[in-house]
Amino acid sequence: MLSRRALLTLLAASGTAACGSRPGETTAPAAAPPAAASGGATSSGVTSTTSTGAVTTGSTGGSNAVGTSPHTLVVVFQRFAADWLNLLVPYGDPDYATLRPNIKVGSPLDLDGYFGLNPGLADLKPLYDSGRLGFVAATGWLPQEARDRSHFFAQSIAEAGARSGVSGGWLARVMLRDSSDSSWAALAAESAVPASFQGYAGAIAVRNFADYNHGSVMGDAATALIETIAGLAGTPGERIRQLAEGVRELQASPPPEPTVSYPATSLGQGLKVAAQAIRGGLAPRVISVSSEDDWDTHVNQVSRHAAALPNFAGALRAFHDDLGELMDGVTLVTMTEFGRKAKENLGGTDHGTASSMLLMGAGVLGGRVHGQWPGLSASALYQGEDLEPTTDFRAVLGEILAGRLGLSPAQVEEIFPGGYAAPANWRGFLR
Amino acid sequence: MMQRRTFLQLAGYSALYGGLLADFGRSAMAMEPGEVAGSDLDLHLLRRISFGPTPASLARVRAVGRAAYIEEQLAASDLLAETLTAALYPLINTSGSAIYLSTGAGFVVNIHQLELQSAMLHRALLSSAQLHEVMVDFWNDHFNTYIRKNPVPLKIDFDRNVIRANALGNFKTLLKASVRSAEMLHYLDNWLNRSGQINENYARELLELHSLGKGGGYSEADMKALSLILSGLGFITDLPFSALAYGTVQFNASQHDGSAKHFLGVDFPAGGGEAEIDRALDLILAHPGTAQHIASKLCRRFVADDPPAALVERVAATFTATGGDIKAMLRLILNSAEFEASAGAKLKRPLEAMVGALRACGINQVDQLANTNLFGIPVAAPNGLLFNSLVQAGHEPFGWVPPNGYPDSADYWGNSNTMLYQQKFLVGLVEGLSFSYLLSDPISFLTLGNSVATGVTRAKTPRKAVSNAVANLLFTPLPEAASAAALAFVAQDADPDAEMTNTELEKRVKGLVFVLLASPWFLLR
Repeated sequence: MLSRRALLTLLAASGTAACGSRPGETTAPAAAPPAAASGGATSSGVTSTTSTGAVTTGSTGGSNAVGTSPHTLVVVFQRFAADWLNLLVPYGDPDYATLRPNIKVGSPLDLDGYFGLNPGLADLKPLYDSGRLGFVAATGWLPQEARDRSHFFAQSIAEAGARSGVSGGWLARVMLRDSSDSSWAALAAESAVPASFQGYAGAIAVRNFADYNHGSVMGDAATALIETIAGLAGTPGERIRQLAEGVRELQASPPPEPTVSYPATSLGQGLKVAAQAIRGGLAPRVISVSSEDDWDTHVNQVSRHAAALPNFAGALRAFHDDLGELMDGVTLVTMTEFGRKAKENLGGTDHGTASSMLLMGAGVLGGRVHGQWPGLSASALYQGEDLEPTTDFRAVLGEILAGRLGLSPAQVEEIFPGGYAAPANWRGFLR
Repeated sequence: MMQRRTFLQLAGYSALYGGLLADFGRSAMAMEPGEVAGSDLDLHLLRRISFGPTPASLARVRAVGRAAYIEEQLAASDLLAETLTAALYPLINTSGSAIYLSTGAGFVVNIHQLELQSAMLHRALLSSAQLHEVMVDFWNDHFNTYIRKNPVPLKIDFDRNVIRANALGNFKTLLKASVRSAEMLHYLDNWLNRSGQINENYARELLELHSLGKGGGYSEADMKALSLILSGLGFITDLPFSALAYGTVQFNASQHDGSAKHFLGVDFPAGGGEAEIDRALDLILAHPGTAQHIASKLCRRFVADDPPAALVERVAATFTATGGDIKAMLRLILNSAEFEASAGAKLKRPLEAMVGALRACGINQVDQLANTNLFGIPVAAPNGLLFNSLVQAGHEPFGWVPPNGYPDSADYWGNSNTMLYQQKFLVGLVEGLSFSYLLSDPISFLTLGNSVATGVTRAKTPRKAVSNAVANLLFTPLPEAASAAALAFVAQDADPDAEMTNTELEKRVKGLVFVLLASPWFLLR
């Protein structure tokens, strides 16, 4: 099992290496960071983990990340289209500043001499430097017929994982192929179960573990009566019965409190719940989290990003530090329904096409920007106005499903039909 | 139709495995939504066109019949409820900009928001014109704007003049009113859509969400043309110098793109000016895609998450034939065979579940009326249990940020988190302080409401208490196995027919009220 995964990872890495040179491609990892660069204000345990992550490379890191315990995939969906051009800033692209005279990020934190991080994301820089966080640039739908600039349609097909020919959501198809026996295996750490879980009845939505009890003075007797009555209703009562069951389980062993503080945002709250589930031994396989960090920046983008980005980065950083060594068994990936226009509309950005994805985890080959940068010149832009996707987002997800959740390429193909997530398309961002 | 087929399947299943399915509980495992909802069509109608049946509304529909009741509701208005609401929440009848000034330009920002939100809840709870309130909720979702995007409370004017005024009127009037509202122009950024700085936000959502719908027959080029057509349409914004005029919609010709356009197959010559907007809206409204989209959303709201295509076609034809008459479309839907066959096909959203629970309990006040303002005048404290619970369940009135409005499907709402906060609301309702004076002391129950829960707790024996609770809260019998479980919960080791001490009985019956209102027998609609 382990060797198969290692082999796949290796294949993927060689696949990337075979690609031709591109304007913004990073051909080497960032300079080896000093171990002291990471850690920050965290506990000593976390710092040592981080140092280990920074020092550890190659097969040792790989075996630690994959082999020992069941892996957890955390999927953060940035709702309403994050402008990744101003998050992962291609400041080395000569067209960037021209297209965005008023909203360009003037002094990004340099990552590799070509890309820089928006200073609002400074909390993520130490993780990047220690090799535990990376990016795949210019992601989206490779097939043009699936590209769409409607938030709602684009979210629904991104969560389905295909424009057509599939039923339900992609995470549901993952769960249907997973053998985990935990009742918390599919966890929506948000206020509702997202469409990506549609078609899998076992997903549980939790916004706050501290609230996870009805609180009646009738206590367990009321829980039991709810379970019985809802059970008698069959399908229409299933979610209610499942809730009562969960309340009972958590009564018996409540999840631990966080060891760090999280921003008071949907993402902060969601990642706090995600970390509690992992640390509490609930053995989640897939966790969905919603980032509602004011991404739909048609106007006033600079000030809105200045307010939102520190919370976005802070939530990811808190999650990383809260989990400590357990981060070895976790891979986090972000996605959004589309990127925003390369050219600003004077103060903001309208709906566009390609975006980028962030990857975090001890098993991530971080400290670099993966993928292929298509450039922002007029001829390189999709329909003359949008960043062109060069990596299908399903290839990124497929690489994680195979490399970390142990699914076979054939199963990945069932989840994302059409070959877009096939090993040949992987970018080799896993250790 | 569906119910019969389900029944036959169940009967066949039971006959085949009759020996294994010894108790009712096992066979009930195969229940379908229609069976849980039951076959009482009067009840079905009230679950759909109101925020929940009450003894009075059920008596009325039984007395006049469903068809006549539908007509009553289509014509209904409730002056008393309006007067009460305005007395409790007076800010809703003033203009948003005036309120903003009188409260010190933002120092007391959320009072007006909370009053509007509370008024919405109060009307849903109290008004006898229930179908009107349901449609207000429907259109507020369809033309969603987020109450906190603009600190100036233009939402108050929008809710009153655009949504409430047209909720049962004509869709064309409603859509045009929404386009000429400062609230919408602000929410979807059109006030910043200017020639040379085109902002596509409003044009895209107007086509996709408000009218033709995704796949309804427009292209990306149409969207871009519409964004040019709408450029220059904004409103007076320069606070504080023209504060009283703030929110007055105006077309600024110098900010309008004067080029020639091509929209929905029609040429717009250069220099068309403001007249282009109504011309474009007329094209949108006459387009079959708009009829189809509105019909489909109405059928999703009133019939099923995945509405029957044949019904949607007939409703769309009615839209076209009547020029967008909302009452005509509702009349067709509510009297259709598809509607009758759909009992239990919908799940209550938190608003309907929580307000419906209050209505079932005979409570017709939003909780906590005891506060006084700076001058000692009693005012409503809007952020009580009901409001806070809706926030936690993700269904705060006017609190949905993106422009598509709150989802209208069990896929979205049928999750553990939503159910959890509904349960916590119910526990707060029956055991907490917010409504306790209503539940336990009829003398302080000031309105004409009939507190069912109070009646339930007056029963002397467990058996009587259970049958009262089921009859008064659910209006429909429970399966025998569920009743038996409920009785065991209340009686525990005692004789179910023996009188029990008030304190103990009340505690257990309140628990039962909570469980019943959290059960599928209450939550399906």
